[in-house]
Amino acid sequence: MKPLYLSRPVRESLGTCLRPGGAHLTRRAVELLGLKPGAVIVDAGCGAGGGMDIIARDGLQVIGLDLDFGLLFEACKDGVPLLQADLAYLPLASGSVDTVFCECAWNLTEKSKVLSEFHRILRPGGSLVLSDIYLRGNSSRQVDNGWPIRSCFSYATDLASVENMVAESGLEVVVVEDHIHHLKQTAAEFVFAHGSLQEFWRAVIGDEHMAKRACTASATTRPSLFLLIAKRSKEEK
Amino acid sequence: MNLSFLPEDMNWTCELCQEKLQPGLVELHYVGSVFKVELPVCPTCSKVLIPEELAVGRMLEVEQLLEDK
Repeated sequence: MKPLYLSRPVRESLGTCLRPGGAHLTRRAVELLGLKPGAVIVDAGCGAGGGMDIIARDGLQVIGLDLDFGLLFEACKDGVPLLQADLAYLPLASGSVDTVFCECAWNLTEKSKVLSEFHRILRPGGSLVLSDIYLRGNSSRQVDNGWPIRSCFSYATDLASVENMVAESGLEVVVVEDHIHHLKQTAAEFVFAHGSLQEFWRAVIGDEHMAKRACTASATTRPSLFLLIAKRSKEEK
Repeated sequence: MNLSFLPEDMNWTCELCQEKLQPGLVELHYVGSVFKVELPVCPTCSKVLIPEELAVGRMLEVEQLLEDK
């Protein structure tokens, strides 16, 4: 079974920004950071390149990284460097990057290892933009949340655990925002398109029983969407 | 995303204007969210016909979702 973000109903609805809220959180992060031309920016888990388009629109240079070759092929544009890479083993020099964007990709990775890699490649004073699903229901660090499909929901934790993991990597959390509205808007669009959330999950998974399980998991774990910005200390060498 | 919810039978007339309803793009606003859908619209007074199935089906679920119920 394909992961959620590669499923046909999701690809048809979300286009090249494969995450709830599309490009809204990318724009919000660009606004918060005030990125300057010449900065080295990495989009870790760039997917089909929707986020890179937003970042590049401001005249900024961005390098795209993703594990999925098919998505990288879609993201392919003249002058945009792309690398096929596992985010846990980044093929980039230490202290070489000003800003890392990682939007709705982190939950699907070896999270601690990936944060440690982000910390390594960021220059002192550099920023990490992390957005993903978190759970408002009772769910800390357990791996199985009852979701029947591999997705950013199934490996999500509560927000306190996210902040702790980022802090443990050596980065300082400076901004945390909740953007549940964008998750709800995307879910509502799925309801309009498919008739109900259960029908949406059935279209994704292809199984009635599993679709019910996804709805139950959603009701129990109460997912939401966060935007977090963390910085590497300027004093660090 | 634009979705069409036109009834199979488009033979509807606006009682007030006595005009036949035409397919039109409508914005549905609810709790800060906006959804663009195609529905039957009166070309004179712009009143919209929302089919019962849509109102008690998808729109109800969307309402509950946006209200976190």
